[in-house]
Amino acid sequence: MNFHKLAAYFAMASMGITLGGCSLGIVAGPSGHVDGRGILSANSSPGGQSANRPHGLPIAKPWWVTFGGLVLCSTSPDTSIEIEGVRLNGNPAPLETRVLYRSIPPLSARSESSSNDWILVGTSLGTFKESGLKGSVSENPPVIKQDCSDLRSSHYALPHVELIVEVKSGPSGVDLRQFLVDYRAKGKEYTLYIPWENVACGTKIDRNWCS
Amino acid sequence: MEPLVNVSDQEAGLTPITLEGAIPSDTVEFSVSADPSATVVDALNPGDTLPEFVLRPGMFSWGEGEFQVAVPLSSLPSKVVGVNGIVNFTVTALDSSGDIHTTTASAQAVQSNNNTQAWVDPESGVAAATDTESPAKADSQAMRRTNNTHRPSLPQVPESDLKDAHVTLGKLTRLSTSAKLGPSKRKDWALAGTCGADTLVNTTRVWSRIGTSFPVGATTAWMDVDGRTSRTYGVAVSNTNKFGSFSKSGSQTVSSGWSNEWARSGNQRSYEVEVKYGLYKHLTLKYPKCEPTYYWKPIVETGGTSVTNGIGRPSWTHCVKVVEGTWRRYTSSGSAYSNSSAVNISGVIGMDLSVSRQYSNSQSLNYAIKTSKPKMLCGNNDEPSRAGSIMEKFK
Repeated sequence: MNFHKLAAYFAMASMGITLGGCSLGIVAGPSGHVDGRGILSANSSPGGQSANRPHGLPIAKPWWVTFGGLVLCSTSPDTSIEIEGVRLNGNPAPLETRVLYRSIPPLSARSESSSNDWILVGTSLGTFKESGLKGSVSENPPVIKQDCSDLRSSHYALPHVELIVEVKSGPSGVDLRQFLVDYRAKGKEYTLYIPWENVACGTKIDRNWCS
Repeated sequence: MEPLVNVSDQEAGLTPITLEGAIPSDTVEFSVSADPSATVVDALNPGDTLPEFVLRPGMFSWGEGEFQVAVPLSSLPSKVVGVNGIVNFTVTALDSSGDIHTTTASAQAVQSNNNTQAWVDPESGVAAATDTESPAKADSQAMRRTNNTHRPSLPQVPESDLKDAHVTLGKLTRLSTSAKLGPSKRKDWALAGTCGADTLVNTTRVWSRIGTSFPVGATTAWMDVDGRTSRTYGVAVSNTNKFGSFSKSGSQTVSSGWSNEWARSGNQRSYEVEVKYGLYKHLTLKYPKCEPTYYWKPIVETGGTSVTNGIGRPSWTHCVKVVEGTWRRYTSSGSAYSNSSAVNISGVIGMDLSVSRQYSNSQSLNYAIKTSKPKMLCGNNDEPSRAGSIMEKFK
């Protein structure tokens, strides 16, 4: 599979593996690691978020929702990380997805608008473009150089990249249980497991996620 | 100091390093004891002897301003081993001027998938990410543990997480004393055992905040805790037991045996649990007499829960945009909830103590978000997916 061509694809393998104490429904490979225990981090920890279907939208009509809040950074100083691709595991699966990388410039370059225009996405109805948030987005996988601890100690004033997924949901809804990010660093291939669940509400989604 | 454990022994899991830390460079005597487990202490009455276990020479080494404790779980008596392999330690050093330096800490025994045993900080999240024994099973094991044949099942963690695992202690708390002794009397100083066993002087019940939520508008929030979790509470120490004389001195971890899902609410509120604390009296020989050291230590959570509504709203700025839906944090990594004065014990000792607890699959914070206008969730010390506390704001 060509990881260099950005495409989110769905792993249908039912084989489970144990990785960092978490059981995955998809194969991460021998060099897989959970967030926080490898070179690439998405600044995440287990949890998740859902978005309700927009009020008044006919049940049969598909809708787009954008999920983000994951900042890609390096836990290894002076290490460049080449992102190769993102794998998503959805059940129910989305009708369509787009993986985007949002570049947020240093604080000094965010002056032309309110600071709230530069916050991370979290959840937003529609595509990223409709979110009203600033920052350039690209489908091209970036090279990540930003050091995680420097980023946190700067209170995110340093430039950084947010991993964003736009999802088109049908009536059943979408439950993206986890992300796998394949990357290359220090001459080796790795896979980052992000245990952050993103849910678009629908008829087949657990009521705990949707009110 | 000669290290007790070399790297190859640690990697082979032969003798896992338990604790390490700094002590005064002029330390003349040093001791480590393991406190009786919560199950044992909770059954005692004021005035009863505390069956602690004083670690023997060979289980620790010290010198040149540092110490190391290395003891396999199998070398500790069952009476000091708590649920999920948590052991509470008290470390004491005596300096050349006769002052006592002390602190407390918990270490949790864990096991890798190839049976290597190691010790980790219970609040590090290493063991919390795994599915440990059920509370019911753990309780029944604790009750049956009357000899060394019954051991709790240890949390299983990946081998890669155990590299160089141990608990590092913070600075020891110094207790000044007027009973100074000259160097010639050093041989007469003894820290543990010489003056008899520790005693449980008294117990008290106090409330501790373990989390907060700050919804706005029609959003509701709640916490959900089940019996597989643990929390770490502050310890206070004094050599007089007078009100106002106590100092903070490390912390100890308490496993819960209760569960609670707080009702959903739109109030700005804190979530509280009731904790039983015990006043432990420890005697140190300073020839020709024995001098006491008093510790207030957490014993057990009683299962009592409460909320305080109407707490003040903070102003946090690590924000993400959110729409109507649900947001959950049940992580065991990232930042733990921590609060340096969450344990409301000032009425007893003159100061409040700390609490720290990790989120986990069995300890979560939830927001059911309703939006009439744009909103954000904001973390106190990081972006919400990693932060220790979360608030909701209008955008």
